[in-house]
Amino acid sequence: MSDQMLDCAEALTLLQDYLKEELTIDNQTRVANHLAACGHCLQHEHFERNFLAALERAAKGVRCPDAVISRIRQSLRSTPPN
Amino acid sequence: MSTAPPTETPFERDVLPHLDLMYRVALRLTGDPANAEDLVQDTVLKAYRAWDTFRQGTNARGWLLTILRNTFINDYRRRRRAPVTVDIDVAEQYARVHQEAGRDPEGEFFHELVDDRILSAIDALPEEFREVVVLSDVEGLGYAQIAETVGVPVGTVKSRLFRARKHLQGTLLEYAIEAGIVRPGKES
Repeated sequence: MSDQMLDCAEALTLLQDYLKEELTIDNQTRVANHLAACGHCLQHEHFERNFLAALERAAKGVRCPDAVISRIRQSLRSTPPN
Repeated sequence: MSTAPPTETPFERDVLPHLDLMYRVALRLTGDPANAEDLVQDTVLKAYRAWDTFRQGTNARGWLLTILRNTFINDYRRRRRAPVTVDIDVAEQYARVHQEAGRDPEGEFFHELVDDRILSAIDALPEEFREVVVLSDVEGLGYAQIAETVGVPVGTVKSRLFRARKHLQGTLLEYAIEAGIVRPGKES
């Protein structure tokens, strides 16, 4: 099936899952082929890629507070396992 | 006399490295730091008591997230103030986003948004959409792992993600326009 060209509507529907590498290998290839040939969809691909990168970045700096970590370590040491 | 640190138990070795992840997910689920801290601590203690049911050598991350999610649903959900219900109309949103982003069709504006803006847009999503976005797009879990954690088919994960992302794109575009990062209107 990977030789069969997708149309734009199909490619756009698959775009997010393509970027997350969640499609079958066949469909990953078909979307890649479509993007190589279609500037309009490639623009959408950049849009989705920038969006996903922003979400990935947004919470990177959030860490579990040290006080919580020590509280957890302490309670583990004072709680016998069942 | 030496005070050598006590040796790490297998539980501590397998579970404690996931505390940051658990805290971030807990923060998005509960909506506030105090409840997130309690939720993480409750989750670890439940995991500790259930440690003999954990299959050694499998993925502790998925196991912990399932416990965290169940604990949230059973003990915390009612404490969260209900987010404003949004009707996620994808087709309308899709057209609007791509029309209004006309001057920035590649979405460069996403890089200009401050993290807090992005997180508050995620927080405003209805819970069933929020949790899949957090697990997939913030924490990087695969769809199959999310389906297992949330207890729905992979197809449901996919459709929730699609709708949630389109909705978020609309919200973030509004922020960008308000902040003067994007000028509304079609490309001239």
